[in-house]
Amino acid sequence: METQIQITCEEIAGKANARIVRFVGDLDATNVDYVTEQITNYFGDGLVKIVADFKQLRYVNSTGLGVLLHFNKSAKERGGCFKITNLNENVYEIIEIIGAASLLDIYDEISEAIAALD
Amino acid sequence: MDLTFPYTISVRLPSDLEIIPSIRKFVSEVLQVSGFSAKFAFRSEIIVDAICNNAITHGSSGGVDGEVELSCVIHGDRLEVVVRDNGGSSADIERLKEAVRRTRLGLPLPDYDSGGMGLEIVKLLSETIDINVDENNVTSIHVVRRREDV
Repeated sequence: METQIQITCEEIAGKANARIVRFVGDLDATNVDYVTEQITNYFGDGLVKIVADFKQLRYVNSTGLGVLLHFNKSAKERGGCFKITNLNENVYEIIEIIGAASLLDIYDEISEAIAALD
Repeated sequence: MDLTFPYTISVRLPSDLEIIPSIRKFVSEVLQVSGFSAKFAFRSEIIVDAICNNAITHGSSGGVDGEVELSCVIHGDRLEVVVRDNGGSSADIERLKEAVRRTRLGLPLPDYDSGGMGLEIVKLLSETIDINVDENNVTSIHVVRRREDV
């Protein structure tokens, strides 16, 4: 079955090891392997500072939340970061309910997340 | 739409995670057509996703040739979701029994894996969650979520 998520990557001017990664669709158990592979490949290429744009991410389930926490940890272990922006209200609420809001780097706007890159 | 409550949607699902997105979205759309808010529908989508995921991953005879039964009873003021499967491995059954015990004591569910987190989210999003395992290891999870705006 076709994955219900699309990921695109965009360079950030003046930040060689950083990328904006845009998520479109639903993040759930059917596509976490695909998403994990994509993000892990970015890390492997030295792109350890990621700004994840969730503007068009409609839905995240518990499995998806698990991999977001994993990406956050993996990026930090590599001296980078995994910053999340543009969360919709429903997805933010689920992150908050499980107590992960304080564990993740969440920003309202992409510009704020980029400005916070070291 | 002039609907008469309650009404029930029942479906038997193959033991395959790929079916869940279609099912959870269907339930969400039915709820919105029935007058429930988009937020209620989203939260219900999370609930249906988590308990179907749990049943397929840990129940339905370990996910091989199994079947999961989902029933959604839509009342005017609440949603009841029941998911049944025909049991998993002995470790899965013990895991669910522990979840039953902890749920009844109001304790957090252990973080075994994302399945454990899924049930914890269900607990946080619902008024009641009841997990039962019968003598034939048929497991069922019964969740009730009330609408906020009535």
